[in-house]
Amino acid sequence: MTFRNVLALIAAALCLLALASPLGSVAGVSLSLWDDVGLLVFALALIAAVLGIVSRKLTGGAADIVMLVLPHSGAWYLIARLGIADQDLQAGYWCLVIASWLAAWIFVDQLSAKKPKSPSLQRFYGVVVPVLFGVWLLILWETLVRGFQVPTVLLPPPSMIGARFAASTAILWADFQQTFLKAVLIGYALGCGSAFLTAILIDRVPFLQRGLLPIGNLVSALPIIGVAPIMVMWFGFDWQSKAAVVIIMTFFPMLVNTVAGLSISSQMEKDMMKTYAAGYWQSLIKLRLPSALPFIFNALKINSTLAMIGAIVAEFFGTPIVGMGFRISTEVGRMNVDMVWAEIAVAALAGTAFYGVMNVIERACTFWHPSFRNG
Amino acid sequence: MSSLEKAMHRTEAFPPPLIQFRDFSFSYKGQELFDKLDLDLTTGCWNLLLGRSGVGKTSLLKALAGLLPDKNYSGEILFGGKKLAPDQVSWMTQDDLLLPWLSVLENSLLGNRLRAWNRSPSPPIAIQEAEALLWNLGLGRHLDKRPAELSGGMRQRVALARTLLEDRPVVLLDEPFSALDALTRNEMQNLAYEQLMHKTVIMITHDPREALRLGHHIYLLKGSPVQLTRIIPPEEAPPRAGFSAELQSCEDQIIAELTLSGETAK
Repeated sequence: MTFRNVLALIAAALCLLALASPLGSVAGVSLSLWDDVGLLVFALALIAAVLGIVSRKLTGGAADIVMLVLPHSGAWYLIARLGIADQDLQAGYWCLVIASWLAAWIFVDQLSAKKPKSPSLQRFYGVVVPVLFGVWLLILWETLVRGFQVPTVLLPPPSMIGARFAASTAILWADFQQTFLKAVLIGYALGCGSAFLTAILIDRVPFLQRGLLPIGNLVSALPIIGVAPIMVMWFGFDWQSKAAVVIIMTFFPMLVNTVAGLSISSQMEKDMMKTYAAGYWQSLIKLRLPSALPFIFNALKINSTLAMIGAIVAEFFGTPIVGMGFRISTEVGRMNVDMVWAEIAVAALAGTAFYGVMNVIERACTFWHPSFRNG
Repeated sequence: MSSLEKAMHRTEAFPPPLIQFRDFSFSYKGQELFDKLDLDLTTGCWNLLLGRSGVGKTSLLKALAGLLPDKNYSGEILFGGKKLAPDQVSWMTQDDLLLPWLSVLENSLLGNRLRAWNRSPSPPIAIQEAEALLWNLGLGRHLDKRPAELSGGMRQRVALARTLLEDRPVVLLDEPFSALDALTRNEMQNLAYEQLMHKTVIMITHDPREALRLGHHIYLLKGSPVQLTRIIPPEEAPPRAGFSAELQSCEDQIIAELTLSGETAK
């Protein structure tokens, strides 16, 4: 018995259970699935579909279309059902939620089992599966939070966060500009750039290795909540003090990784370069820096997320009335948790995009590295 | 008179050597590997240096390539009576040392890439020449591939092409074939011999059979500091094939010599 059939049978069993269990009560009147035609049709269709899959009557493209449409229209209908006021949802409803989730899982399983020949189709499936995962995370979040009436201060549903996001794009954009485009990007560029140059200096003058590496280590060990207020005093309330915190946070990972990367070339490779009459700089640029790129990009990727954290935290210690960290700290105080979540969403999107961009550049620069071969 | 003494006797007929180690002393980590070594190597043919690992073969080769700083050893290395300059020498090792981000053609032209900067007086190697050589070495269909896509033997052929294109009078080979499987090694030995026939080749190896196959002159390095023993290979010109009785007796002799030195070293 395949895993997919197990999922299908569990989904069918949950649908049958939903037919027998109470769906919920509205204003004190108890309801069953037989009182809601839409959900009843959904449950029966789902039972038919999964039985078709288990008995291999429903296969190929038809199975894909059915399992794409059915669980997602069911989920849409289940979410719509949450809008009815003054109701108390019971076992039948949750059985259907889980059943539709399992049905979507079956769909993903069908997609992963495919071995498409064309690379574009392969890439398409590679995108669809994680997107479906994200969509179902949001669907379950929405149904659980609203179905169990979790207070929005603890966890607002994604629809509420989305609405707040859409309504306050102007504020979010201003915050994004202040925190990401100024503090993060400038601090990141300066921190990584100066660490890179320091690493070359250390490599050229080995005597510095003993002095500068421990100092870099010390600086990175400084607690950010101690450094941030000092930077605010030194560089003022605006983005410059946040960029300074980002520089401090990103400097050491970049320094250590670049130094490590530069030492990866073997003595024999350097000797080979020497027999071609290559001096220090030729050897550095033609051999050692390209070899060090995987290490350098590691640091750039680590730093892309560190820089976001550093800038946002630094804004807790004094800022003009704009910025993602400022917004989070003030809106938490006013119990506007949906706005906090909207800022978190912006930070997550920006951080992921930043990381993704570094990843793409890395792939373009280190295509030759074994970790990317065939990938 | 032993066969070895007979061999020593015969060497006097050779023309005067042109690569000369004079009073060469070198120690590594407190151990004296060479003490006032004098060694004359003949140009225009293959000189094989044979010894156990750790005896100092590679240090000798590095000194020739100019890779040991002058202050680390004493004595001189002369080529045609003058100090051997690093730009008279090219160097090939067991590891192909190809740059993984360059194609086969770009790797074979590495010298150009490195010299593009320092206003070298020598003109760059022509691309046509590199392509023609790579075709000769059987790599014509792989010019644009990266090293990771090639087999070990093919990679070593690219390294050979890179070494040959430099067209230096002295070629140093540091066990270049020992990482290859037996068949590929045989092919590579023939190919390298054919391509380097008229150069001065100094090759080190720990494989007696390889030395007997390729060497016009064979020197055994043993002991610490190193003592040199000269082996005269069969008269037949290299690359020598097969297992003739003469080759077999030479091999037995080499193994006996090196085994003996191993015991005395203890």
